[in-house]
Amino acid sequence: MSPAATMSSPFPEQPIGHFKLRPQPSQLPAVSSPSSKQSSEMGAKRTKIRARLVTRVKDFLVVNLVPLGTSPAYKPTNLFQLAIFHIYHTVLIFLHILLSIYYLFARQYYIAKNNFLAFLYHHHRTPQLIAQDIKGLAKTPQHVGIILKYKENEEGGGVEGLMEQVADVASWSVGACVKTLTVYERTGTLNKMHEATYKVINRTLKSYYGETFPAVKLRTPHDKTVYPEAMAAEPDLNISFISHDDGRGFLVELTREFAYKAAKGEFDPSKVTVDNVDRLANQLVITEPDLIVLFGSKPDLDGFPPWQVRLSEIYYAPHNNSVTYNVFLRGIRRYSKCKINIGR
Amino acid sequence: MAIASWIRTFPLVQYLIAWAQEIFMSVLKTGPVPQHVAFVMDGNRRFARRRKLEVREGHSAGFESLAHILEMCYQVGIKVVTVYAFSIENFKRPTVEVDALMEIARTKLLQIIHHGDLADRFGISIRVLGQRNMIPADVLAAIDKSTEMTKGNTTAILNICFPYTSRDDIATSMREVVTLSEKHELEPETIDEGMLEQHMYTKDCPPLDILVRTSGVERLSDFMLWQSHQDCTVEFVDCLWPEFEPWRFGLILLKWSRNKAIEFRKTEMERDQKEI
Repeated sequence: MSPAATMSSPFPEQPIGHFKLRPQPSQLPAVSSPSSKQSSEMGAKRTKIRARLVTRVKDFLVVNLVPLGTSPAYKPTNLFQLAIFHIYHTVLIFLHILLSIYYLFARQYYIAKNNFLAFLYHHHRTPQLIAQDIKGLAKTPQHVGIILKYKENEEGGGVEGLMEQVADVASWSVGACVKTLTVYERTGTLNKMHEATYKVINRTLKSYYGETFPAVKLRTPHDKTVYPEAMAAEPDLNISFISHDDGRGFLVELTREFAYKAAKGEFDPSKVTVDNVDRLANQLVITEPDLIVLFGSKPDLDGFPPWQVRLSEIYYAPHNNSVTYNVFLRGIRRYSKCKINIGR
Repeated sequence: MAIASWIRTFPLVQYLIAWAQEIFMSVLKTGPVPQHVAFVMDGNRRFARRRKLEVREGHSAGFESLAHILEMCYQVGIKVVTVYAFSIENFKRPTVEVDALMEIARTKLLQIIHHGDLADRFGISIRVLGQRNMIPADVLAAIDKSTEMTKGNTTAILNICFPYTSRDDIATSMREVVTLSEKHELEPETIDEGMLEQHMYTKDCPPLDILVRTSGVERLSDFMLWQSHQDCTVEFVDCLWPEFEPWRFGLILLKWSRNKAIEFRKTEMERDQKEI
């Protein structure tokens, strides 16, 4: 009686987490000694407790011991399956650890490679060197998109960090004859900071190109703002700032607008075609980039506008997390080698 | 390489490989498993050209590869597999090749649903996503037959995108929503991402977990743009589709499983901290 009570105590009354307890077994073992009324009551109580304990233990084994991420298709239902499950799961964890160890070494390798390439190809803030690096390439992208991440409380992070990164990439882009640069940052921090960004970019461009530095024009399609508003000549580089809202959000917004007009009977739904949507997307957001350079370690687009990534070459350097010239340059080289044949 | 493929022809070795694969899949099954995987089956023609085969044979090799991958998906419990079989842009190819592709599609579809073949063995229900009005009549008949015959299978879904582009998918969904609004069946204010998703070809599929593109091309090429541009693992594999061997897919699944397990552990820890 008492050991059963103490043993049942580690298993709380309520199910843990969001899992439901298994239903109580319908058949309880029969009571053995019907001689005295009291003892039979005691026996019934004991068997009841024991049965409850057994189900609790089973629940603990089959529900609580199964890790959270397990696919629902493979939840074990009896003890034998549970044993097999745990053998397999141990192997899986072992494989995960092996993979982690591999990643550890791979990361060291890629970091070393990155550093070596950074040493080999450095811009030294001279446009001539950049021009030399891209010389002889079969083609260079006209429109480059970059995906940046806003990092808080980090060295080189914050809004200033983002501005510096944009300024650097802008300088390299001018050197690599890129005409349009699209800066994607999920939260859109830079969308409303044209003036400050413009200053930083100009300062950086000056350090690369001297007193007669190239002109840039900033644009935020979402707010329909440009900076500077009046320019004497065509800018050498157009920079667009877009955020997560310009992706799916834009398509939803467009649909809503069409729907309003259609509800009033002013719009024919058959006009919603790929060509028309494409024209509007090009006009109101950005055109399709030739190349998207991710300065992250995975090919994760992070919500970059889906309509515009159709044929863009996606470049990322594995295990790289910084905005560096050699990653940008490698992206452009990759683009120069790729062959786009729509449908062919 | 030649020796390896020679050794592989031994019956016992084949048996061992199949056994090892099954064990590995059972191991993977005890962790997180993706629900929806998509493939861009790129490189069939290049494969044929390299091996000096006919284009047709390249496509057949690609189909073999697909069958093997489907088997693995079935073993590990993936619910939906979406494959990019034919793009709307592919109609720009020479007529001879388009016709050949259509013929392959027709025969393979009829083969899949044949008694005891893929669909039957793995309980796959087949769906064809794309612009139906661009498909020739005889292929359309085969499509209708295969969807009709496999309707009752519930283990997994095979989405064949044929002829499909993601932009067309998005635009079609937008058009449908606007048409509904024209008929005053919905309020324009209620339109959101979820509603657009409800009108896409993949409406009743779980969200896309992994997108695999073979042949080393790092582009999405108008495939599942909406579904893959966030919260999705994109894998660019540097081999042609007919050479996309099971171990490569196994490695992708293992990587995904590890990343998800770490994610789960993090959320678990956060939940525990909240409870404290």
